[in-house]
Amino acid sequence: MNWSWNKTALVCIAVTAFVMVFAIAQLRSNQRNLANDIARHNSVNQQVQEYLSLSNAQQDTLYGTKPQSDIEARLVEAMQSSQITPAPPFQVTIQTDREVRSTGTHPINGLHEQEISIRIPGLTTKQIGDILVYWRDQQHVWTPKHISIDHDQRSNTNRYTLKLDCIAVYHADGA
Amino acid sequence: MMRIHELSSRQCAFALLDAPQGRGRDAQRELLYQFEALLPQSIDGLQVAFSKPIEGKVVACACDRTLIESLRNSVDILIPDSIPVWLGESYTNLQRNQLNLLTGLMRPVSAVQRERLNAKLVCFASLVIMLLLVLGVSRRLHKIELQRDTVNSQIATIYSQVLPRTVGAQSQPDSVRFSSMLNQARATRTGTGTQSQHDLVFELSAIFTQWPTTIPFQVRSLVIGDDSLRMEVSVENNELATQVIQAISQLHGWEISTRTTTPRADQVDLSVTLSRSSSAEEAS
Repeated sequence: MNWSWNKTALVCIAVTAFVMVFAIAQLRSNQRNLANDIARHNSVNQQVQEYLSLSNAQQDTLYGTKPQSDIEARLVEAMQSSQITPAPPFQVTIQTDREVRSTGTHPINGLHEQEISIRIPGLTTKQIGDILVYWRDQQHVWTPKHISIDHDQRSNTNRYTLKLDCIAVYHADGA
Repeated sequence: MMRIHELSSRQCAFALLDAPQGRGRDAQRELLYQFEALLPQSIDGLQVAFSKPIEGKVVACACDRTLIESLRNSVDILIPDSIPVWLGESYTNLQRNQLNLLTGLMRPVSAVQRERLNAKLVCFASLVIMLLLVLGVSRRLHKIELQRDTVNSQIATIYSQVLPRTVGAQSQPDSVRFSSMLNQARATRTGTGTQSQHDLVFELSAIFTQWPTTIPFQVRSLVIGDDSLRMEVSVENNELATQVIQAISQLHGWEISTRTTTPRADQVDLSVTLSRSSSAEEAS
C-alpha cells in the first residue's frame, strides 16, 4: 500500500510535469502566433500606407498593357473628357523602343522607353487646349516631348492638326 | 518526540564483523554474508542492524522479526539495551545507538504512515497544481486567441479599406489580392518615368496667355519642343509682320534666334524660330 501511494505520487508528479510542459509549449506556440499576427498587422499597415502613398502619386510607368493600345485608350478618354464628338480619326505611330538605363549604361529591371506619335486632325483651338490640359493633368505616363499644331490650309473652318510626340516608360515583360 | 525502546540484548544475536570493502548495497550484502555465516538460523527471519565501522570492525545485531513486528507499532527507534562485553571494551553506547532495528521493511508504523500521508499530500498538491495550471493556461490561451481575433479583424479592416469589393465567391485571399495591387502600384510608380525637361503644355499655355490677339494674322504652324519654338504665320503686309515680330520677341522666356520674311502676292509669310532665353534656362 505504502509503495502504491508513493507510486501514485510519482505518477501525479509525472502527469503534472507533462501537463506543465505541454501547457507551456502550447502557450508559447500561441504567443508566437500572436507575435506573428502582430508583426503581420504592422507589415500590412505599412504596406497599405505605402500603397496609399503610391496611389496618390501619379502613375509614371505602364504595366500590363501594350503601349499602343494604352495610348489609344487614353486618347479616347481625353477626347471624351474634352467633349469632342464625334471623335476625329486619329493616328498613332510607334517610333522607338529602348531599355531605360539608370546611369546610361545599366538597364533598370527590364524597363523600356517607348516613343509614340499621335496625330489628331480637324481640331479647333479650344479643343486642342482642352486635350492638352487634360493630357497634362491626367496622363502622366505619356510625357509630351514635342507638340506641333498645324493649320489645315485646305479647310475653311479654321481647323488644326495636333501632333503630339510622347514618351512613356513601360515594363517590357508586363506589357 | 521520538519513542525509543531498548530491547534486551539477550533477545538479540551479536557479532563483530570485518568492515566491508565495498560501499552502499555492496557493503550491506558483504556484511549480511559474513553475519549469516555466524548465525544459527536463516537470516531471512531476522531483522539485522550494523554499526558504523570502527577500527576496521562493524558490530552486527540481529533480532527475530516477529518480536520486532510487535514493537514497530509503538516505538520509533529500537536498539539493544547493551552490547555484549565479549565484543570488546572499545564498543560503547555510540555503536549501540547505531544498531536501530526498525529500518527497511521493519520501519516504524508511524514513519510508514507519515510517508503515506506525505505521498497523499504530494498527489493532492500535484493535482491542485495541475488544475490551476490547466485553468490558468486555458484562460491565457483564450485571451491570446481573443487578441489574435482582434488583430486579424484589424488586418481584415485594413484590407477592406483598400481592396475593391468583390461579388460572389472569392477564390483569392485578401493578402494575395492586396499583394497583387501593391506590386502593380510599385511597378507603375517607379520614379524612373521619362520626364521631359520642360512642361511643354504649361509653356504653350503661357505663350497663349501672351498671345498678340490684337494683331490679325494666321498661324500656319506652331511647333514646340524641349529646345525651341517655331512659328509660321501669314500676315497681310509687312507692317503687320513687323508688329507680329515685335510681339513675339516679347514672349517671356523666349528669344528669337532666326526669322524669315517671305513676301507673297497677297500676304507675307513669316517664319520665326525662338530659343529659350538664358534667364529662363537658369530658372528652369
